[in-house]
Amino acid sequence: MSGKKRRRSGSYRPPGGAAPSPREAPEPAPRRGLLDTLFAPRTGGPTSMPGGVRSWVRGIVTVFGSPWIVGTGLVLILVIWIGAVLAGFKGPFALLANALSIPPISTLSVDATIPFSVASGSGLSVLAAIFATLAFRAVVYAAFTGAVVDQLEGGAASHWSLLRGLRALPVTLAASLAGFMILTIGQQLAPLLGGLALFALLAAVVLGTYLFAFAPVIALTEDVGVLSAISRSVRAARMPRSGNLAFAALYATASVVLLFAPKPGGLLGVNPSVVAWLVVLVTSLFHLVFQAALAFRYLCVADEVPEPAARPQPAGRGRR
Amino acid sequence: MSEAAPVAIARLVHLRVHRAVVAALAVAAMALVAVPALAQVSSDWSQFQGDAAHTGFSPNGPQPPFELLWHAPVEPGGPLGTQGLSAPVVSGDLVIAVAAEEVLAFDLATGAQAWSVPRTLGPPAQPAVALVAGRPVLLYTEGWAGHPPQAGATGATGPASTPSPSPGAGGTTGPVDSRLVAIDPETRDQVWEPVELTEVSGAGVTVDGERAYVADSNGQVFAVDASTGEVEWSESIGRPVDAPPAVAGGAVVVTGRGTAASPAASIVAFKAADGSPRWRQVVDSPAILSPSAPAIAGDTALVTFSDGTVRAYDLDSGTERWSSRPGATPTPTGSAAALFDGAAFVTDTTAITGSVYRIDTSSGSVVWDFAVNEPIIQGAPVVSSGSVLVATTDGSLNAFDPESGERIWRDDRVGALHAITPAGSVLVAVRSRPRAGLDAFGPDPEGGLIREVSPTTPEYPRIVGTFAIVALPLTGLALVIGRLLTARMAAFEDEADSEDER
Repeated sequence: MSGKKRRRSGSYRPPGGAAPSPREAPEPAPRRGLLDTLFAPRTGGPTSMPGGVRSWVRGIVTVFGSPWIVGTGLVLILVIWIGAVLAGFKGPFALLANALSIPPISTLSVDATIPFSVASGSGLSVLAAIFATLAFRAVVYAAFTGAVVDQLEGGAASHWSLLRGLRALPVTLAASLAGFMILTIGQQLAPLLGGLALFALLAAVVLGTYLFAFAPVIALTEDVGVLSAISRSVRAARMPRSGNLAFAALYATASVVLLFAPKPGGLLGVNPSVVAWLVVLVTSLFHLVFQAALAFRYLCVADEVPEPAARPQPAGRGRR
Repeated sequence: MSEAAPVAIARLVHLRVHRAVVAALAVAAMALVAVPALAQVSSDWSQFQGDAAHTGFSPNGPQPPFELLWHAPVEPGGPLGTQGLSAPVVSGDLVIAVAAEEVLAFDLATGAQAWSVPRTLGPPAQPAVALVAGRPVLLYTEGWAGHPPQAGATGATGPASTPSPSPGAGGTTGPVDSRLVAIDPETRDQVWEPVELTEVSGAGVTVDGERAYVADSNGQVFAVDASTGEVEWSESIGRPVDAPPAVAGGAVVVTGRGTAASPAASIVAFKAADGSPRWRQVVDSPAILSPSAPAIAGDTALVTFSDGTVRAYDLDSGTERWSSRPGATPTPTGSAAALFDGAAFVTDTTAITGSVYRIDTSSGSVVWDFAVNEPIIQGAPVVSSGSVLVATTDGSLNAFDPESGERIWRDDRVGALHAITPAGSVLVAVRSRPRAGLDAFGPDPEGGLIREVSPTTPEYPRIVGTFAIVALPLTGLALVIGRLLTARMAAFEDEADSEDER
């Protein structure tokens, strides 16, 4: 070994081991950022956020190291597909490639398309079907958050992990609804944007992933409410030099490309081929790995996330 | 799967009990639905979807399997060279179609060109043949009202169920040269002086007895005496008309497209006798709605819309009887329905997929669907004897069993196919580039039929089996990778730390 001082950046260790400690360097002066009026000032200097490659590898280890997560994830895809077919969905099957993605990516495909296809009648019934699907997807998202966090924290994911994950349900539900609203508004604005609509859509998806992706992990590990979790998620995402934007953009872009790229199972039909199953199941594992990688990234910097800025006292208050 | 249980049970009972007497039902359906309209014209396919009611039903049309009899090449024309042929009509031994700047007639038996008549440049809208005192009169529209298609405009290359390239209501920018022309298809002599329209017309002509109906993109509807050319009445619906009016039961039903200023589509019925308004319905939509040509089944007018809905209206009162959305996706243009045996056959499409549906005309419920998985643009289905025929933009011609919904025959060739026209024992359709022109199909004595269920028919054992074939090895592989990576994780993190520090 070289003997040089090692900075254990991103070396999240499960409880019982050496927890990552915040760096001892003095906090630099807060820098005003775009959202500082709403959230905390951005901190300067490097963070303990692990690099992209390490996050992905840790995500793979987390998911692939647990027969429970892999098995449940894959079987869930089968269950979702059979449920959709029983409800009258005619395909394309390839939509399910994003069934385990996080909102708003999942909203782009599964959450809106399948209910719209199977619900007949008035707009209200379509809306009700969409909200039912959003709620189901929020449960799935929360449950897998519990599983990956348990696995990361050194335990083994089990059905108890899935139950524990339900603590994050309010947050995942809020994220799903927010994703749906963002995309609905985007759809209405799309005609005004013309050729830029696709880029605007991608930007909305990246932004949603970037800002809100940590929220379920926060709700689960820190037992905070929806607004606190989302606020903290935004602050964690915006930590400088954390590479979060690039990490989210890479994932969101890959997911959107996967969604629109021609692939097996892209036509109408309810009996998928072996190749179509392979593509959808591998992609589903990819989404679970990303979820685990996100959880890992947040747990590594949990102690470094800046607190919200205190709201300045309005002049004159308390003078009486 | 989308059927309600009572409907499914009813269907099952229907299949078991009525299979033996299906031929009798077909005859009854002909009598109830098609014959009133057919009785007023010749048995030829004389206009859009065959008759004034637009039933799309040919009681004596050919049955699959088919073979290609002949191909008559016709290169697309017009300023952009993109305007193909209109949907053809049949007059005696001739099949007649409108091209950008001429009207062409072909011998039905051989495909040889019989004659051509020059025409003022205009959208290739479907002509019609009226019988006046026992003699055929060919009616077609011409002219582009001073604004022929420019680069980037979409050319109307097919049947009249699709939007014309018109500028919308109003807005004429040049001299109006749009006319309704009548010629004798045997002598090619003009029968009467052309009737001036108020705007370009891409809708096509409808004939009912000795009266012709035509509408233009100003929304003006004309009823013209086919024997004299006299305009008997003219009324406006206030929206661009892209599809030919349907006429039955003393009513003329016209559909109007929504515009940017007013996205809602409208369906308007006039009294055929004098053009007085009968009823009017407006279909609201957040997006511009393009309706299909109406089709009239008994006392019900059926219209499909570009939002994917099919709606049924009482022919007398205009009351909406039902609305059904058979497909998952909106379709760019409403596809006109074909009517047979108490059912409407409609199609929808996306850029890569298309489906055929059988809808019960009394309830609006979907009886069956078949995913063709090819786009079906300008693809109004046709019922030829006992087969539902659908042409696709990928170039295939498909035949379906109207009872079971199974595909029973398929032919696949290069070039988009549309506008199927049954003509006696022959089937003529328009094909686009690279093999543009007319294709004629006839019965193939050596061909065979198939029985293919829709890919949207679930086979649960197959679903689970295919899943297991993939999921089991994938799970094993994932766990092996997980174990290997877990063992090497510490070393990896050290390396990654070093890289991070560098």
